[in-house]
Amino acid sequence: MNKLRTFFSSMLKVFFNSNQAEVVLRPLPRERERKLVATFARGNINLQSGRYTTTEDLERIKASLRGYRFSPRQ
Amino acid sequence: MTATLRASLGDGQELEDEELLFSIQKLFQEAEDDIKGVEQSSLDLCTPAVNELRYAGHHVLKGLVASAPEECEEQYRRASRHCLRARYDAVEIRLWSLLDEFRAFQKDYQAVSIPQVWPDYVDCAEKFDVTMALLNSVKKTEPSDIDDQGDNRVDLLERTREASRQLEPIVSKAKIARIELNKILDDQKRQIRMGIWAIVVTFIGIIVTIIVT
Repeated sequence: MNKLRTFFSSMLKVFFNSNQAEVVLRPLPRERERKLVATFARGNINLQSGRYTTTEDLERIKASLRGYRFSPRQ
Repeated sequence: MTATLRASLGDGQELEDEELLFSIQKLFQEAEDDIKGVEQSSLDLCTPAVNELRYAGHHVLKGLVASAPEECEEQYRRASRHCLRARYDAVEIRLWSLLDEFRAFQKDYQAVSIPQVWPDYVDCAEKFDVTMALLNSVKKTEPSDIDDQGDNRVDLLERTREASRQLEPIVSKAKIARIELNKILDDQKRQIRMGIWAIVVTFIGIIVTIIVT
């Protein structure tokens, strides 16, 4: 019964408040994004393979290396 | 340069702008080469660098249609700065990926003494620390603020390119060292297995001795 009520209330919202409906754009998962880029890319073999580095990727590497020491010497 | 622009400028101005355009063309080509180089070595397209070239193209076009000679010159200068920034971004991405690769190497072989296979390993590792300190010291600006910064970009670019030239062979060497280090890891695993078997056999021997006696 509850489900039915929820369904009808959502239908009413669609019919009466359709102009106020908010479109929420959620970020795509990383792998899905790369697959989409690979599908639509033309002219660059790396882009066509979904291989590219963005500023976010760079920031991720920077964050993971923050405070890291390569040399065992102090 | 368009005929209208040529006509609108005096002789001296025209020459100066043409020189600037040629220098932008050279810088653009160098940035292209750097981006291609990074693409070939890391098999990744560095989008921030490509984006900077897009800004450079935008300023060249703005310069070409600018009515005032000063505006035209300013746009060309902005374009050249974006080309330099594109080169730096490409080298920077390569450097961070080299640091990341070397960190992965160190993580994979943290249980092994690497210097027994690679004698100057510690000196090489120090170069990565120096490079990371250099990269962390750079304060990056937004593309819109690129003209406000008064630092020496050419010097910074040269230093990062030099760091890249130093680190590339080290990372290649790390890939080769993996073969020998894997053998050491296999030996260690074999010794551990033998140790476990020795303990098990001794334990069984003790139990049998107790039962028989």
